Amino acid sequence: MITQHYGYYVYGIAKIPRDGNLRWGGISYPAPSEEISYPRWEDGVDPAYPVQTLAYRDIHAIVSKVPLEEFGQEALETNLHDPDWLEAKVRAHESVLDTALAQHTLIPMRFGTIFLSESRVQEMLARCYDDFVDTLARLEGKKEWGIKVYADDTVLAERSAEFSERARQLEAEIAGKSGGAAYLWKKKLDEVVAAEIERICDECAECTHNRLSSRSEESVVNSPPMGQDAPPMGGRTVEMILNGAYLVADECFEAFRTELASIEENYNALGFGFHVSGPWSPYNFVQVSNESVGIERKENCPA
Amino acid sequence: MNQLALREKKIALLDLLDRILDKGVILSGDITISVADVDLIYVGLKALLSSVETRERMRKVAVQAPLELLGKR
Repeated sequence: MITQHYGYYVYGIAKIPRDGNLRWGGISYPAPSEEISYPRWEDGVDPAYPVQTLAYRDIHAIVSKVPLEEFGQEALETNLHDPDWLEAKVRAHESVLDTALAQHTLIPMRFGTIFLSESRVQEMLARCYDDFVDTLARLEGKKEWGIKVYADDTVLAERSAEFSERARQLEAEIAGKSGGAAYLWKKKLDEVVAAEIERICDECAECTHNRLSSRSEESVVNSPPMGQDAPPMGGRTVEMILNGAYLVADECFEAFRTELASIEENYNALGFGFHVSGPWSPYNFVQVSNESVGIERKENCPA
Repeated sequence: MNQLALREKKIALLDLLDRILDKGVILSGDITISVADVDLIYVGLKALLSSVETRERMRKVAVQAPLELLGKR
């Protein structure tokens, strides 16, 4: 019995450009029909093994060898719970894809997809070929951008008169009151302000998403990562009101950025913060047909 | 690393983890991580990240407390 020592860690799937050369780290290589090895432009998840590609017809799996004593099923499950290990491997995975993303259309894999041999990888490519080709065609010339919008409740409460007619009117009423009456009116004002803050946050989130979607090929709203809100700074209450992902055609990116700048101009005065991340490999836009054997469809949950 | 940079780095890592653990294509590889694994990772990371924040806050308190004691004399 042969003892298996290594597996093949799969980062993603890339398309070979029409001229037949796969560009890696800025240098062209002829499209191979068998596995070839590239210089180590970026370390893979195990720096001892270079990043390689395995080809099937006109698509490539981007892979690197990994030792099974670290990446085998049991070892992996243990290591996943070591935050330092996980962070290092996740960053390595992403840096490989970032390098490829600059030059190629990519389908990113989820973390931790490993096959026990080259032929198993080839089998997978053959099995999923049609779906991969369709997905790569859909993604060509586009990048994913993440937009997160934060609301600062402290600022919104202070400036409620600026965005709420109701709050403005109530404040005017309170000005002429004193003692117990003023107290009751103040309580009423607090209730109204809370409701109005919710309204303006919904409006900002919806407006941002709709306007940015109009500049995107596809878009999706996600719940905040890990239930994450911005950590409180200096006692303020900041919450994430939108976590959006946008698939933007390269030639439309200027228009996308201009749209975002315009939205920011509308809402900055009320303390809304806008955070851009990207370009990402299109993690949020690689739903593959679940009819193919061995592929599970990944659905994004709307917020 | 100052507080703001630390926060930015943490947000970037969470952004990355959200994509790389929860999105992308899921293939039935010979070895894969399961949904249960991912959930447990999130629980562990959340605990770790809160403890990072707690350590930062406690460190600041530890530095400030002696100064306050001096003031009270």
